[in-house]
Amino acid sequence: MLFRSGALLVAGLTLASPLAAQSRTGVLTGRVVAKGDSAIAGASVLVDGTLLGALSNTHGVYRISGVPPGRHTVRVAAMGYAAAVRTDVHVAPGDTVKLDFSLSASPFALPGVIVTASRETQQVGESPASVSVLTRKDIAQRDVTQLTQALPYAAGVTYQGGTLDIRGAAGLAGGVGSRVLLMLDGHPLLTGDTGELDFDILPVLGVSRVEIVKGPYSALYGSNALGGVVNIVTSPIPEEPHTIIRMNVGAYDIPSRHKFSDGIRNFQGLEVQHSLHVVSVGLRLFGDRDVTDGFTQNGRTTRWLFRTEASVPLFGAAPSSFYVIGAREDVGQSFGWRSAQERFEVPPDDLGDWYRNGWLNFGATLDALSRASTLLRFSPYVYYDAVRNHFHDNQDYHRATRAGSSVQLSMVRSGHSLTLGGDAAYGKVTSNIIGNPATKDYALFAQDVIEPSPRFRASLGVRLDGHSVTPGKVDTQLSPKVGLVYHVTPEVSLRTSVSRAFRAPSPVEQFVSTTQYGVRVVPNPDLDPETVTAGEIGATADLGRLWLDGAVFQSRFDRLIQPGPVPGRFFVYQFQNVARARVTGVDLEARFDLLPRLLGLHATYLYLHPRDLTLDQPLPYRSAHTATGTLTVLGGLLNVDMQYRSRVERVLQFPADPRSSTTLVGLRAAYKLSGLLVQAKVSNLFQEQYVDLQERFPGAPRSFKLTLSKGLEGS
Amino acid sequence: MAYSRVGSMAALVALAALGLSSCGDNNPTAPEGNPALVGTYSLVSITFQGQPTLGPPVATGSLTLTDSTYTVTITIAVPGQPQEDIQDSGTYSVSGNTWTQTSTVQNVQSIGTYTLTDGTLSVDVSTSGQQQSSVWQKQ
Repeated sequence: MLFRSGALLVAGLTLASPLAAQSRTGVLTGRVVAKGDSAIAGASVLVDGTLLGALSNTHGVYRISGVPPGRHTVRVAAMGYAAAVRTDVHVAPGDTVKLDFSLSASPFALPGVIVTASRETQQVGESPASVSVLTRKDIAQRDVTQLTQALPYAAGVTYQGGTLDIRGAAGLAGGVGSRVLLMLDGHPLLTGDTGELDFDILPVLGVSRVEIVKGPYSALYGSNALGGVVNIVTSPIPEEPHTIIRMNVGAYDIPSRHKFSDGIRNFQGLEVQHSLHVVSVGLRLFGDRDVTDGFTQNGRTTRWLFRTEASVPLFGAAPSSFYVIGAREDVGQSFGWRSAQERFEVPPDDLGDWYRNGWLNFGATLDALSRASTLLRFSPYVYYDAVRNHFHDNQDYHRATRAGSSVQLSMVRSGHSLTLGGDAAYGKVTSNIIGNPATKDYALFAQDVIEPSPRFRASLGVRLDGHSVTPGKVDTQLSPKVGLVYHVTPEVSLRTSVSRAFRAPSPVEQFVSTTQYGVRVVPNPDLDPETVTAGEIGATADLGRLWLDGAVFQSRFDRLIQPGPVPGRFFVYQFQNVARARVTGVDLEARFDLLPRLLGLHATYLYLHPRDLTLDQPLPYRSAHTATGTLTVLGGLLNVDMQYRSRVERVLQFPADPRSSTTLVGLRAAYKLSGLLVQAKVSNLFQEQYVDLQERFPGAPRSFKLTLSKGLEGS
Repeated sequence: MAYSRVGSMAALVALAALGLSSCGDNNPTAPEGNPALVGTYSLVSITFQGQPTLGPPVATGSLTLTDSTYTVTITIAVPGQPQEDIQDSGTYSVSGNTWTQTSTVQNVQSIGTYTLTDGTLSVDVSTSGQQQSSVWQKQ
């Protein structure tokens, strides 16, 4: 079942291939509808054994030009529908073949295709690595304003204490380098100074799905993919003008023992998005303003966020896409809680302290060559971020610019699907505590996917990365991966993979020079990358009203970067390669269609056995058991969400503080009224008191939220 | 709610850094104390995370304990290295021979054991996974 469609995400319907090519090739076109003839927008139509594909438009119409003459197998996949296949489709030179599809609704809103696991479009279940997907429906049914509120419901993923973690790789990052690589439409989205991910610059509207590739994945994407890769995939710009308006208001219900004032602590947000086409150029504009008082003293946060996307026909049939995101956020500083038993107050000296974040992000996807068997893609990006403290006793700042591009050549030849490419990036930091280091990264990668039989699929990949920093050293890393998928039956598949990944130290880890809380921290330019080698065995079963996925895995980490004392010097610290660790676990996901269209259940469970092999202790800030459940009633009119995590076995900062397990329950109800979607939501329904992973950082108390939106369908 | 990246970075490095001098606890369930501990002490020796044991004249310092708080000052003057001056304060509690301390300066907690024999106080604590031992003589 090998098929490719690298051009899929950007393939347009309005552009014709050159006449010369048309005379030697044919065209496939038609309509994708649901049973009952309603159009399905965004369905992926793929031609097996080629890189050709297209998405259906809002009328369900698709068009694929440049189809080589011959007999083809054509597949269609769409979220929420059972995939369909048509074999023996004959295309003659110059022919336009009409091929319609009528899809049956699936009990589960699973995505039709994914793009992250192999840098190409592939069907879910074809990846030898475990992949979790948050679909647009998963996100919409939780009425979230930030993706971090939905990500914990993806199997194997946690988001706590500001740290995104996959299968226990990260723990608590603490703002000094993410062990998960975040990408937006394939462009890396980590800051150039601290190597962090910032979800604050990612709008929720316009997101088609979030793909999470679990396990080390530097073989395709380079540094930071220790725990895996999270790729935010945006939806195509719709053909016709479309406007979405969404506004929300809410309030925190702070328990009386934590109350610090009589006023109501509320939050509100307004998002507006408009899409249009000007001649053949697609545009999508987005603006957002969020304000929250927070639930703590000093907790006020104001965020402005703007995004512009464009789809421009530059190179023949495949339009090129561009985006620019700008955001600014003013955040009240509430760091340094004294005790979870006290009121939510900051120390008197800290009252009024705040800091400002600013971001500017540009990215483009340019398919310079898009043919049936060849795709050449350039993906340039620029990411600027800046932070400045406005504290009573601290005005620290850092800002960084990171610019780079990847080039990727995909080819289908003689049963091989080959991907070759390279990455290059340059980063520059300016800071009073980091200095002015500059980084250079460059890489070459290759991947071959072969399918010796319809049931068996193998993937081999390797990447060579070079990382240099000035002042500092040069380091090279080799990251291989190998994976196998075996389809026992059309409904059941087995997979296994082994891979290696690395994380280059962030500039802040190498060059920070400061005194904080009476502690002197000095640079360590000789810091080495931390690495991980991991393997997993997994299975997926689609049994009609029951969908199951599971994997057992083990990861071995070496040279983990942590703060430590400088040898020979007392009371002086720096970041060092100090720890070896091993994480063993089980990762499960299930979707049940309990009562068709009436009651559904999505459940995840993650078991971790994380050991620090250097200290022979548990790795800190990880729960052994994490589970989520979502009960969907009446097709999403009512949702019940549950998150559970067991007591964190080891913490570092306040180990004598009491710790316990945490169970959070949320309720959401929706009702559509004359095109207006009204949603009411209660989070932390049972007023659980908990810490947000890090000791003395209280988790959010119960909150109530009302959201009104118009135009969400078809977004 | 986002965290301050500058602030949280500092927090992480601070995690590694305490232990050394502090002693204290603001645990709301703070158990019994030991009145015999109250007083002022001089540093006899200090060992930190496998490094050589230091004492006067290279390492000098004083520790003042009330029934629940501590204040410590340590100066390290290793020839050829910059002088390190450490000042810390916070709260502490003891239960049996267990010692729990929380630095209000460094915002971190240490747990370990202590002994008090003939005015000599020995404290062995672990802070963020790092071991530190110190010996003090009551003045």
